[in-house]
Amino acid sequence: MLKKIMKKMFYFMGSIKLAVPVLLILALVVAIGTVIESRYNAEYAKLLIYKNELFGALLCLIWLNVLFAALTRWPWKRYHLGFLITHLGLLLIFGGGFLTNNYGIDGMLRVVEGQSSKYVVLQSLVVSARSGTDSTAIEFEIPRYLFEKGESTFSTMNEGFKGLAVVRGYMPFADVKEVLKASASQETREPFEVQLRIKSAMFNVEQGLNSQTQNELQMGPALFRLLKASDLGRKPNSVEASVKDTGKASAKRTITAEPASGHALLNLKVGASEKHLDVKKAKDSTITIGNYKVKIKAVMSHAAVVNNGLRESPESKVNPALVVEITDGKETIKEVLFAKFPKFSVRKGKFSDLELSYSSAEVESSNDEVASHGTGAGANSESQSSAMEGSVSSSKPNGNEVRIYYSPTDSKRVLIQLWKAGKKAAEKYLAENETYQTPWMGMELTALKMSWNAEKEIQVTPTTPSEKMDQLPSSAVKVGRYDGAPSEDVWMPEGAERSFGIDGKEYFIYYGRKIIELPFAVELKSFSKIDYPGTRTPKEFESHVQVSGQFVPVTVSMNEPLHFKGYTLYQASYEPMPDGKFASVFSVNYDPGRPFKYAGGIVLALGIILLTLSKSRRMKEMGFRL
Amino acid sequence: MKYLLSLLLLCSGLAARADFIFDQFIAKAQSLPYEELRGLPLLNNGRIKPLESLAKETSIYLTGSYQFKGLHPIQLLLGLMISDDGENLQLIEVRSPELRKQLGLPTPESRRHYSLKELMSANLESLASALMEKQKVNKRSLTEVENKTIETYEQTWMFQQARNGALLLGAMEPAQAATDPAQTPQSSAVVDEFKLLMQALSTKDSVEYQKHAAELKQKLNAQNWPEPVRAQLSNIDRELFYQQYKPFRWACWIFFLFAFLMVFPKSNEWVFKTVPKTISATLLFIPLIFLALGFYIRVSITGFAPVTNMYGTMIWVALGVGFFGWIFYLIYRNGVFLALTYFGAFCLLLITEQMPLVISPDMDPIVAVLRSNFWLTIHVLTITISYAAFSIAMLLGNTMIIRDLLKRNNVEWIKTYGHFCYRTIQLGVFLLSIGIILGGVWADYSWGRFWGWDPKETWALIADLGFLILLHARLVGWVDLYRLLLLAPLSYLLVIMAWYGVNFILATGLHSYGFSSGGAQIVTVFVSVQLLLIFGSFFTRMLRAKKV
Repeated sequence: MLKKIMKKMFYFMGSIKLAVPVLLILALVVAIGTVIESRYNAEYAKLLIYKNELFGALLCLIWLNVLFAALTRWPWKRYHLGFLITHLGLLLIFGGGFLTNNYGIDGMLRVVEGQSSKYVVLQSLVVSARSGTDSTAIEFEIPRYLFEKGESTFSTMNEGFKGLAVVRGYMPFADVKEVLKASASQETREPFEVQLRIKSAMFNVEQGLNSQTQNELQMGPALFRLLKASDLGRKPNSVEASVKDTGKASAKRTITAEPASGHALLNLKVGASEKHLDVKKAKDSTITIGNYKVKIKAVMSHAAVVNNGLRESPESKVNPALVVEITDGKETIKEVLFAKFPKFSVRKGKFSDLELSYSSAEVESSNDEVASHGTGAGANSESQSSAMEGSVSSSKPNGNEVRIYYSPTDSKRVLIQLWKAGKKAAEKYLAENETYQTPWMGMELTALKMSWNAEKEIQVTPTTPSEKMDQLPSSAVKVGRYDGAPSEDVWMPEGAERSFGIDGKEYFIYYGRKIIELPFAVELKSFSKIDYPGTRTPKEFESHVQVSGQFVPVTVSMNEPLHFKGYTLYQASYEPMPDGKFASVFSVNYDPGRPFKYAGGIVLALGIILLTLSKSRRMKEMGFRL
Repeated sequence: MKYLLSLLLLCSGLAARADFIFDQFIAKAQSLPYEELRGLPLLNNGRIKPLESLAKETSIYLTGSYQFKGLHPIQLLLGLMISDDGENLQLIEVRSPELRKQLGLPTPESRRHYSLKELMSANLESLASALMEKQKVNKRSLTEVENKTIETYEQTWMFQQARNGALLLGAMEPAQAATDPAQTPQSSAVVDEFKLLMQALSTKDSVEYQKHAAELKQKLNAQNWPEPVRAQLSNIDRELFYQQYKPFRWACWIFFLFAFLMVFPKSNEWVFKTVPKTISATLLFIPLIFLALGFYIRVSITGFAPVTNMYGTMIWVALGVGFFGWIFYLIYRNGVFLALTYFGAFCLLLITEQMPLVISPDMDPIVAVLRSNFWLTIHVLTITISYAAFSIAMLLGNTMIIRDLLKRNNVEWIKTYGHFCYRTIQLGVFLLSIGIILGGVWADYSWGRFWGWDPKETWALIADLGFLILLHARLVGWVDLYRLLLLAPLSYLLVIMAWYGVNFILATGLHSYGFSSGGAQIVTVFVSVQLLLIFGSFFTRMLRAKKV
């Protein structure tokens, strides 16, 4: 009896009666997947359909069906050949896919020109914990669940984190926002933040300007800027008069060229040794660190690129810069350091073990800001290079500007000034919840909220994926101290790290993409990109890389990957860097299923050919005339 | 009352003035000579092309037509440059009716063309620039009308470029075009020559015109073109030939002619009996020669198998359909089958001819990832040629359905053509499966994964499964030949989805190079009619069976 049922099951599993509905279901399901991808994005479609366990089960069922279809035809006849080969090909391809999915690696490696890297960022998410003294981390993978999860889901993980941390919850889609930390004190301490509503026939937006994190904002045709004035009552625009008076402007240069107050430090670092040099006291002096001698050539507080050279330009925004000369005895090179653009460099990766930076008090709190802006608009802009976009954007000729002045001595209101083509058009004081009906295209400005001591804090709230977004919202986990109360838990979005101390020791918790180390490093020697003439469409782009342990550099380009130690590196994309260099992005891939898939492909193709040929023979045998 | 009257008068006066300006412009432009300028080599959109091509592309983009009011596209371009009243010319086509309404453009409803002035006073610029900001943040979030708004704004931009000469001069000066395409180039030998030419045109001095046209051509040929495109100078004559003699249009109508001739049993029989096989076969091959010629020219100009956009694949499928039909005719001497396939090829070519804005025929450069001739050729050509086989199966099915609805079917017919259908489906499944595997290998080779459930691959698989299921169902006897013929067009809808739908409707995924929009209404009508036919045939057959 049982045997009979088993036999029936066996034949059913290999029957076409099963194959047709299962294939129909597959077609339907993946069709839905493509619609989800179109409405939302590829990531969501993957999570909902292709990475779903039920979908895996469906594929397994098809695999078994194909297998049993071949087995139930036993004993095989000669005319089964095409059929058998086809099905063998399918089994191999599916098997290879299974191996890839479960044991393969697929991630991204990003290398900047002149640098090297061996870290590949994978798709999968992990929570890792380590103590400050121990560099090895305990790491657990978290599947990208689609639903909220409680502590019980993470019991094994928490067992592993014992003594360190505890994961108490999971949020599938989180809205991560920077919000103002509620501060009890009414101190007029910076940073200052003003929340504005900008309304016109075309737009209606609410946007915050923060003196520390975001003090400029391009909104349609106008640039909004938050500026500090020492005293609002004195009306900062009075400086306007001095624009025409060149004498005064040059007088100002002598004042501002000298860093007004506070520190102006050149920071040097080679390996473990660090030195700091007070720039004000040490003009034209030389400092020795490691094998290098560094000499200060010029100190500027309003640096701008004029006629392809860096000059002190009092009409420009505050932009402290330092020109230094570095020598190691054999070679001497020039380097420019900007306090505002610490990543900027002109030494093209030379003397890379020497770290240089310039910190100036002028950047942190520049009391002269108002004055320098007052003369700023409309002046030199044509010849400034894009390397310093920060100073270029501030001096667009003919640009419309809305300036918002705040002052610690007049803390309850701001002064709004409208500027057009370097001339002030109108102004008005605004307190909280007051509205300014501007004469510009019916634009309406409302100061919704002003806050001092406006420090930011990350807030995580649940959300749902919305349509047509390029990316899914980040997921988040709720993490707390091992011995802490649940009320002290914190939601961590992807990419977040937090630390806390237990018994005088510091611990670090990280949540985000899994990062693995390759058994070799990839150095990007150079990157080249050729556009189609007269367009910005790249015709081809390629990376010249050197793999550690190899002597000859190799070129990786579209359709020409690099194979090394079982890994394959593909040119995926590139990113232009602010300093004119490129970062190359490689897709890194380790695929144990590849041989099976290729073999399966060949076998399948062979089978289909045989099948097509043999069918026609059989049809003729059946006496059919076309 | 008096006020109203004067207002009315003013309005009609304005309208009449606009018409007058327009007529004057057309008359002036129509008198412009252009024959000598057709082959001027210009650098535009990353390749060197003749002025004829550039002008055609500009004309279709601005006005929606290759021959706006009977003007040759070059006449349109030159006319715009010498016209003093350009901003009042009503020739920018606003293609979206919703946008016309939204901008509050002057009626009547049927009007599609507006002047730069009208569009600018309708506040198009502020609307579009806000949308472009939105586009920068998230490209996919724009609605169709919003995309059309940006397109219309870009049309006005292009119009201004064409009018102030920046379009042509920029295409003549490669060095300056490379640095800033928006700037009108400064003086140079070529630019000066062109200015002299324009002067001759506006003073109607034909001797001077001839002289400067010849000199300009010579100077452009000697121009210091950038290295990667310099070799394309030798393609100019070929492309000009292609633009002037339109081999695809010839093929299209010859297909139609032969289809028409062969579809009648009598004429078919007559050909069969009187014309020797070799001669009829040779004659029937003529449209394929035209197709192959056009195809060859496109390959030689672009340097790549021309299947990188919808236009290319449709031509290729038409070639496949026609070729399969011809081969089958040689083997089976079946005129109806030939007529059917030729009719199919005709339809495909007609669609490409009629919808240049949706199915763009330009030969502009392809994205970096496609630049692998080997893979492009064997993967895309195999996949799309399978569509040709499926198209034939679909045509056979539909013929059966129509005959069925007309009560003209008999068992013999269904048996013969049912087997034809089975064979073509087999051929299609064979080609598509191989093509999918090849695509997997290419994807593995260039992206690092064999299969990633990308919409294009997924839909190719679904289409394959759709026909594979039919084959299997036929194998076990679930469907007879009648049902096979009935269901082939149904499965073909999956091919349409894979071919058109992924690129034009879903418009997402890694195969993003062929994406476009438009044509949705036509495809919707096709799909609905197809479904009606299938179900109509199914139910009438059921009813008839009941009666008996």
